[in-house]
Amino acid sequence: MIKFHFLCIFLCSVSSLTFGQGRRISFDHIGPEKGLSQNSVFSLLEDSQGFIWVGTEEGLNRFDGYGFKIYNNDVNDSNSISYSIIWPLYEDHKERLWVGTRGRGLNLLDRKTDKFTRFRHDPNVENSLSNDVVLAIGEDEDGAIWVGTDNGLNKMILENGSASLGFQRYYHQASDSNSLSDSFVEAVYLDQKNDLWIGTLNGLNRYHDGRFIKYFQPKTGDRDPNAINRIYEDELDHLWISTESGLYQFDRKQERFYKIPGVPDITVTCTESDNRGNLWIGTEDEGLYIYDMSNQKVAHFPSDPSEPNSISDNWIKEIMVDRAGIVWIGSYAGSINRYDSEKFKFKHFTHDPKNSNSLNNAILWEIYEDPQKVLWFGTFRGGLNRFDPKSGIFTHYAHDPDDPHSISNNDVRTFFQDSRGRRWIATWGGGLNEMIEDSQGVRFKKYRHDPNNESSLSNDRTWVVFEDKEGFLWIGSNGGIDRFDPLTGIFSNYSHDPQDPHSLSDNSVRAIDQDEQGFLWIGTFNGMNRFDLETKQFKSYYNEPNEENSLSNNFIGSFYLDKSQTIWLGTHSGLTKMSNINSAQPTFVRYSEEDGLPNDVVYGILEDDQGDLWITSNMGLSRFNKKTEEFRNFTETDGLQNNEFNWGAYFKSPDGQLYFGGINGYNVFRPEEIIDNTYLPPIYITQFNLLNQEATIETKNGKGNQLLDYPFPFTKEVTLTHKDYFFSFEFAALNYTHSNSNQYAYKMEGFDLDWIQAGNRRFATYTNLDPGRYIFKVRATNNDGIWSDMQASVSVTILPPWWATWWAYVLYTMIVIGIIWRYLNYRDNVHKGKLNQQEAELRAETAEAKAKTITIEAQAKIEKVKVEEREKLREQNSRDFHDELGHKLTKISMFLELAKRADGVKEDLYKYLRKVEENTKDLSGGMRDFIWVLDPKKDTWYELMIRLKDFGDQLFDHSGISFRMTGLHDDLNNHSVNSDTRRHIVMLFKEAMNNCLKYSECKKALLEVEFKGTSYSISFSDDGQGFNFENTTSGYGLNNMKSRTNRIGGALTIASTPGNGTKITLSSN
Amino acid sequence: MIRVAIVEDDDEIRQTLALIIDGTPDFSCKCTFSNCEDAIVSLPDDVPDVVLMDINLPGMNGIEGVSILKEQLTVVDFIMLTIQQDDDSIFNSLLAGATGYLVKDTPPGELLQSIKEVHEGGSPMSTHIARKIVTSFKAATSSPLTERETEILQKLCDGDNYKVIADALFVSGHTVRAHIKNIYEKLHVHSRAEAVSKALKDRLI
Repeated sequence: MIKFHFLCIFLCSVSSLTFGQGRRISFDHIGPEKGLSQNSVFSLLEDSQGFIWVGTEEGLNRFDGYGFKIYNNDVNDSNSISYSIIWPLYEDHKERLWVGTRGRGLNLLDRKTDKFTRFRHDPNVENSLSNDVVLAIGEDEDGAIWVGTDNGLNKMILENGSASLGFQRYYHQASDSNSLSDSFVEAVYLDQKNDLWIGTLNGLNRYHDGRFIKYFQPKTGDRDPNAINRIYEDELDHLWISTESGLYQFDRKQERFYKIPGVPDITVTCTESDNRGNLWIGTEDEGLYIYDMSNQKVAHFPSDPSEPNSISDNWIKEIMVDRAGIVWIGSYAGSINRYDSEKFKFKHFTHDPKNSNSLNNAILWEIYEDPQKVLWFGTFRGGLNRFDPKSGIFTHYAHDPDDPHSISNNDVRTFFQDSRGRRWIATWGGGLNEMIEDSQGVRFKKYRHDPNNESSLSNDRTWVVFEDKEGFLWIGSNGGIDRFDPLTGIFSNYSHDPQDPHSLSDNSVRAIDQDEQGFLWIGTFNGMNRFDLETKQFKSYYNEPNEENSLSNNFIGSFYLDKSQTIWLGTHSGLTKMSNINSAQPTFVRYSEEDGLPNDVVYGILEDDQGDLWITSNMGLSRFNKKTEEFRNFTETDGLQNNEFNWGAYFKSPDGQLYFGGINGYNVFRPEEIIDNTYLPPIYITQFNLLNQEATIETKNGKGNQLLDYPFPFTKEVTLTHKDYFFSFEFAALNYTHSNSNQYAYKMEGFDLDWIQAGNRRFATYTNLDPGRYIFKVRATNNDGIWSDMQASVSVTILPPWWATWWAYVLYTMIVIGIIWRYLNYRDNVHKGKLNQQEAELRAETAEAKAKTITIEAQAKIEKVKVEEREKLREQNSRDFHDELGHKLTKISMFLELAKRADGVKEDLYKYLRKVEENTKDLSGGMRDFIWVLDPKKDTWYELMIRLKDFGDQLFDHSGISFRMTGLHDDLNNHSVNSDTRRHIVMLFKEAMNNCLKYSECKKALLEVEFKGTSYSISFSDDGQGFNFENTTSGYGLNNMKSRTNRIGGALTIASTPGNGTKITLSSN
Repeated sequence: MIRVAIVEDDDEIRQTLALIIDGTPDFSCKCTFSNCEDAIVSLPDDVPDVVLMDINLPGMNGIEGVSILKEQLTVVDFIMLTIQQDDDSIFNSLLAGATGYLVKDTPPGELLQSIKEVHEGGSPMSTHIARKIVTSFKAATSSPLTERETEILQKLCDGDNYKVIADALFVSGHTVRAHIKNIYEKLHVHSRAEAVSKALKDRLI
């Protein structure tokens, strides 16, 4: 039994022919990095104007392709939105925007004023909204607004279609069989037949004439298919019910639910059709599913952290398809992902490490479709790959050192099936292989270079295989070109001979083709050659420096011979067109980056059925119109495998599809589907800036009058004054595919003579315009440069300064008259004026003096009150803080106790816990001291001594030391002491007492206090062993005591002799 | 076995303290309340030995609670729990019938020790409190204290601690504490009898 070496692959049961097999679809991401208010996106809506509204957990956003305008709740503004958690969004047939919040009711946005009208639940008002958690908004055929909430369904009752009279509520009532199936309403939807569908926590309802007709499903697993999250009708009139247990299609005639196989029984949050036959399905835990309605296959696209272009989060909350066909996906933690179906056109397949039924290597040298429509791929490290579209299976043929019948080398440059059906593979380093497939299986027969055999292959590094009209094979390699007779197996070589000018120009042969006249054309790394099969002579063409009419570069990677016998050469310096190839002087025309080619390194060239050339390079794919000589370029962002392609990896299939490969798999597409974006976007002026500040309805112009009549984009008029000399407009074309490529043109009629082309700049600035009336106009193209038919305009009036108006001039005249008159009166009044002046001065002086006295008194009072307030505040603050701290310290000690008692506490840990306990205790004590020091009530010597005594009692309790105090008299209450001094004295004697306890080994300790007049003396003594303080080091804190004494201006005496106890005295100076 | 009940509104403190006490040999803590009202309803049916009562409680405060409970549960020791040693609150608790007080952030080990001491008949007393009591009794027409008790109280006011007093009177520290406990009891009765605790407070200030 002959062993074969190939990898077996399994067909994924949920993948279809359009998905799976390593097919990539990529999503872009729009989130807070672009200005979105928050990452949790709950709803998406495209309004009638074309703006995209995004409801998040932190505000409502409006997107114009460039940035976000954010609406958030402002507690001080009752016209702001009621809450920041935005749930459903709905635009009714009157183009009013309804915004439901999760907890504070419903809002209606008036876009002309940017104000919100709120509808809240009021328990005292019977026709108010039934509940403040709004989950769904819809409207019925009469245009009435229906609101689904956490508890109840509401129908808004309107008067004359404008002001609301309130809501009629519908609840589930067990006693009424015509009532709603459940009061928790999460979906409201009007279908094409004008039936109003309500989705609740328990059952689907259809509202008809005041009755709810209910539809239930049996509950089989532990998830409930009657818990409905969303209802949606696609373009084929299918009604889709998204439930907690999978996705169902509801057949209205049969009144039955049908499950979609392929979507598991999990929470499906939303579905939407992209109007191209695909239903996009969002789930709560598993990301995205796409249901292809034509072949009824479901593909799964979960979030993949290793793949930056996959969806960002598996919890999808909303899917919306805009009018241009872009799919917007909002998720709980991933903001917005978008899929632009324009990119579907370049289908991309590559090596998927998780799926063995894909290419086994991403770098391709060859793509080939055989007459049976099987695809063959030559890869860089994976050998030969085969894909059978009928079965959908990839087979890989890699080199196996243990299997002599396996392919000789993994670097496969060419696959070719000749007219006899024999399959030839050119490998780089492994010579030529022939793939033989019969009843015994697959094996590879090798033809390698044999230095001892002149009729063998000239070089093992083979690149290209070509069959001429007679059936001979020509092998291009690093050894020149070999003519191979497959029947005899003989190779005849033609290589470069430096002595012979009619030999091949270079031995690195890369491309071979034959023209109508039978000449063989051979491209090499150094020159293009024409080979005459009869004379066996080569004629070579090179790049001639300074000669435009020559090859652009000698490095020929590929070439294409078209039907008109023009050769298009792909070189390292762009494209060269060679015409009249068989004449004595062929003509050469060059195309490079300057002409629009995206990159000068040309890899592959194919011609489509319309006669356009498709060219790959290091910067993507380019479509070249031979007549107009224009290039239309595509890059990775258009869905290409990568910007870098590769030689040899291109193929045109007989049905017209083009394949191009590179370093990340390949793309396949139909050229007729690659058309410009035909969507003509609306354009709006979105912002007006006056003197560098954004203008709102509140903004006033230089005169103090309202600047704008409405907020943008509804503004029709702007009135400025001459002071508002510097302003600008910002505008946006609502095309969301490559918004940055939208181009703009604007004109200020009355000022600009012609349209100004602004490129992709979105603002227009004007300074120092003369007074007058103007109209500002702007128009735009979409990303492919197609001009939209819509224009936006605003009239601008600039008022003249007051001194330039007609009545100003009247004023001037009047002033002049006035001056003359005044002068005449002046002389009369001079005398009168003097007297008046003196009297006024006298009065002013007296008043001033009075005012001064009052102020001084008042100030003193104010100061006093301030000081008192401060004291109170300080005390209150410290008290509050102490309470808080004490509280927490209590808890800490308690938990420490529990920790000490816990099972498995080892000795070490126990020791450390005890240390923590000690420190906590110290901290506690320290806090109490602190509070005590600040307490203004404790400012007497009496209180000070009490403190020391209490401390001593506690310290020496249970210690065996007898502690007492003398000198505590009532009259100590008459001596006050400030908080600084108190603090220092307490700390000093605490230290002394601690030392006594630690080191003295005494039996008795005594604390004495004495007052003589205003002089005081406190001493602490014990009958212990004393200490020699000449020899002491720190640890007794003596230095500390000394410094404290200095601070309070006292005197410290320490009397201690070994064996005779210690006495520490602090006295006033 | 000393049976302890706790009335404390902070959940963490109450539960942890109950755990600590209940987990100590010779102690048990099975009843806890987060407010006075509940305690008043339930305690009479399951009388403990000691009740730890937080002074600051929502609704009815600890002092009032003790006042009401002491009528029914005359032999129970009420120990007030306080964050800071606020003399006025403590004194008022004593007037209401408390047997003693403890500062909340005392390390649990000492807390248990103090509960034990109180249960066995002792009571802590600080100089401040002592002076307050003296003043309180001075204001009364006839002091209900015995000679011994008066002596002890006076010494406390002068600044002696238990050990010193005990030495001076040739009695043990325990006895001194027991005397102090009696002083508290009398104080309580005294105030009730007077039924003018407010007036007393006035005289103290």
